Amino acid sequence: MSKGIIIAGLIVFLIVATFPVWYTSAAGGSRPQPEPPARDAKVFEGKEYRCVEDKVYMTGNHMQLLDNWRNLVVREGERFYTSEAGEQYEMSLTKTCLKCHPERDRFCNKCHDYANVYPTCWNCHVELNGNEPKGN
Amino acid sequence: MDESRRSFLKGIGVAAAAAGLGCTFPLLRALASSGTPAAGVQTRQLCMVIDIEKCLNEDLIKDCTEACRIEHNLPGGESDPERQIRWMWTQKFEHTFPDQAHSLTPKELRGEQVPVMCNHCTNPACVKVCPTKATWKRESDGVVMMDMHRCIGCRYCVVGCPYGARSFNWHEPRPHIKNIRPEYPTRMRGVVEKCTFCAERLREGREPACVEAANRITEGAMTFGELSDPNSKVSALLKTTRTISRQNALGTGPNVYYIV
Repeated sequence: MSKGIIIAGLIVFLIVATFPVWYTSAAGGSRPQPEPPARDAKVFEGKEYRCVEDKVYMTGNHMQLLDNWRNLVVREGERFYTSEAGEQYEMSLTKTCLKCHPERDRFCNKCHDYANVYPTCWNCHVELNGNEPKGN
Repeated sequence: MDESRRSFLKGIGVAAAAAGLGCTFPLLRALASSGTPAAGVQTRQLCMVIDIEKCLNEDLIKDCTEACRIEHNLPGGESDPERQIRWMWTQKFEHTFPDQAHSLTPKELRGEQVPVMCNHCTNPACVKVCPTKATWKRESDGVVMMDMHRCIGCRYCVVGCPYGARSFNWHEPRPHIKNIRPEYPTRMRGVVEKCTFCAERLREGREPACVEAANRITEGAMTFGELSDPNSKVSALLKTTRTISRQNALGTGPNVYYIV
């Protein structure tokens, strides 16, 4: 008698507890897809550029990397960053990152909107193709 | 019983004495290390020597300030001088050197417009008052830097600076910038800014924008270089010419020098 109620209760509980997971996938809320840079966008002055670190590292740690760059550039007056692969990059949001990812709406904001984070970079830093005030 | 009370009181006395001595130790250490650093202790110090006479040229001044304005995305169009954003500007001789001009100073000299900017002092008052270390004296080159990421807009530094070298962003600056140069960030409402000796150019081994612009018109109008290097151009100039600096008596140790 009470066994049936308990099992039914458990099922209801499981459904409610896992609701966010299956609802999101059912509603088509898949992971955000930031636009990768176009192939030709990666070649400047005859040199091909790769991202400073690999994609997995950048996805998880770009905020720490940028924070670190900021401190090294502004506070220590340093200029270059040596990647894990041993390549040198100028530590600059505008001169390095934005070369391949020029539009925040097509790249940064895709994940930031999804994750509901609003970094204040663009209050001061300027996109290469203009300066129209946008969402964040 | 008496004996144990006696030894107990003795013990307390010894403990109190030990604690007292312990407390004075950090105090003594602090006393030993205090005192303001004397000028010249800084390992590196960039400085500028401005030839006032060579700068008595409206075109030159205009080019300099314009180069600075474009380089750093400075907003324009503000008529109230207290709300203007300026990194470099000019002011009358007697206002720049109040302790140098006297009642018999020739009229022409008094009216002269002298280019002024942040003095990147050896003992900067602005740095002392900053509660967030948003402004600090960079040890690698002696530049008094600004970290816009840290500035909370308290304006203590604006009050602290005796040269008026700092500007506060009362408005959102972007609508007042004609053409934004994406390579350099703008600022936002609520932060203080000032001349940084073009830190972004120094990093690339270039001279400040104003120096470049001034020397394009009159060679030697502004000289920039390393003060701590005895063989540098500025060191030679300071040794061989008569120079003054602004309001020396304040003890800030300004590092912008003027050839009179």
